[in-house]
Amino acid sequence: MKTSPETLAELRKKVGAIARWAPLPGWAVPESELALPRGALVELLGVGSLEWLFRLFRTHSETRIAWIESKLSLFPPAIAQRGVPLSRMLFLETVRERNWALSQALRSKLFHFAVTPVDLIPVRGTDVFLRKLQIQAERSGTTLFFLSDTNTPSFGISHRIRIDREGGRPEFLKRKRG
Amino acid sequence: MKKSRPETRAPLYFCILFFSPEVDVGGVAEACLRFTPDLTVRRGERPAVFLEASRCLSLYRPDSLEARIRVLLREWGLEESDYRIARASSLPRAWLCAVEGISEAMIEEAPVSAIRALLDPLASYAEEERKIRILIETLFALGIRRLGGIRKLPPDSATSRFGEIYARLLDELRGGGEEFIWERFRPSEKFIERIDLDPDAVVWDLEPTLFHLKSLIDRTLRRAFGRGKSLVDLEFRIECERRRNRREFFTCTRIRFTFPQSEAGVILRSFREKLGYEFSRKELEAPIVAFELEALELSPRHSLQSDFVDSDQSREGFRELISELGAKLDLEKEVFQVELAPIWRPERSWRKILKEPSEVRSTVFPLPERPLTLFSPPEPLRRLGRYFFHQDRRYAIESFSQIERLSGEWWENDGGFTRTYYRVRVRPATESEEGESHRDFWVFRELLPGGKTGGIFLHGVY
Repeated sequence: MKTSPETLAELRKKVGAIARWAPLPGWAVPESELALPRGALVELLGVGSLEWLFRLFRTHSETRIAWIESKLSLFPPAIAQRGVPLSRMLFLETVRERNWALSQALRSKLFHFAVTPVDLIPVRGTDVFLRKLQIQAERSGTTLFFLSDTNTPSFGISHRIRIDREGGRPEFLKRKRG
Repeated sequence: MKKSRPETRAPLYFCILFFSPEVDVGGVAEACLRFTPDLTVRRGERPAVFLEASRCLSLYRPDSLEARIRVLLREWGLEESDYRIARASSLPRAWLCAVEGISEAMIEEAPVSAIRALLDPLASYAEEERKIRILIETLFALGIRRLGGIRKLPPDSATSRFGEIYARLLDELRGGGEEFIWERFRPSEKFIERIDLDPDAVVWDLEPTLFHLKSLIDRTLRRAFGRGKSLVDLEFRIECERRRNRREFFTCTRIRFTFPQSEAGVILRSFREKLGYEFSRKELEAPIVAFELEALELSPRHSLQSDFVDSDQSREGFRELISELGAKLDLEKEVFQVELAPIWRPERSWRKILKEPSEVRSTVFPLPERPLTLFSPPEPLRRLGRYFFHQDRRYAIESFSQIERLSGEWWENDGGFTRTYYRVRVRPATESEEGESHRDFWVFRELLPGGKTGGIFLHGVY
């Protein structure tokens, strides 16, 4: 059977469109039909974000988590109470080498999730810094969460999610892909 | 039902003969322990390692075992021309084959002088040397040039003439006599690898130092592997040219790994960080002439079996990550996992640890729900009517719940603590934040000694 060039062009267009729409492999999100891609940079906003994050960790029970902060603010007994075994978590508490520690954690390809406050992002050279993180996160398949109080106008962050209250549904403010 | 008996295999000896007396025969023997524990060494002018391999033939075929030994020797820095490998059914015959460079089938064609090799393969019977020399000379005088000719002598008259030594010789030649008794090799307790540099190849910089260090690490790891061990504590010493007639160390760098290491790359990276700092801090006054690496502590290599089918090698990866983080961060203080402790005071109810993730206990104590964020130390709150003031923010109190009294540690110098905790639902009441949704505070009121009421503190946020 002979295929006309017009039909081929049409098919290519359709295939291209499907390829763009196809979501990347990712994590199912509690209380939402959407998925978070692996290797994405996600900013979390709102008072319910921490509780929601641990619901996500509990849902994906085989995952490992790296938690990077200058001074640990998490209360470990609460983590265990939320159904996330402490054996799945590694904490890196450092001021001077925070970026390096995060980079090592991503490079190791051991962690499915990494979490850090948004103040880790430098004010100068934000886009370059985020791009580097993006590449490392994609290579390792680690979804990196930034905990934030206010909306950060950074182009490099691929997803922005707000959870306004405890136990609330996640609202996707930004979604680049996935 | 018949019980099957374990099959007894015929002995099979490998002999590795080294042509140079300077070879570290003990080190090679330790590395060979990975193949079989049944081995012994010959020291002196013609060093050798003997492996009795019959018990490991279910793991290796004789040819593949020989190939593996050759790979090990190559990694040890030895060329094919530095050694010879022979195999035979007994230790003396293996030694003879190695010395003469013949196969076991050709033993009878060996010269009569090879009797010495058959009768004293480990050079441990110096008192028999005279008897052996007389035997060789007599046989030579009788016109016997090859070992096979010995069997043509009438056994009765030869035994009465040469005594027990002749009977032993005949047994070895027939290959069916009593087994030669040898002492099993025991690895040395000190675990030191050393490289002495040639006077024309002295080193001044970091990079060549790392190059030599890599080969030291490889050797040490191979020895450790032979014993089924991993490295925990290592000391690397750099020795400079002698000044004022005494040995001078440029630096002694010691690294203690949190998890036992068996990866050369990880160990080298850790040393690179430390040595880079040492080389940038002080200058060499004299050229480096020797390097020494000592394993101060070893640990059983659990992963040898347990990770055998582990495809993602996550345990090894975790150890590598911790070693790399340890180069810049304080392990157990800045890099840690957490275990819960049965202590009432919330700030002390957990402790930092660092161990294999599978060994971290995830106990949950039956307590009311705790907040995910904890302020340490607790932050003071001011209450005015139905409002809380925290820093420059005002919160309207909506409701109280989950009242809990925690007290303890009366034996401490400060008299312990008594706190009444509340879970308080608040809503931001500052103008800029009005409209924000409510949140739950974990608040406590302190009870001071003597029954006085203390202040109110914000301890956490749900």
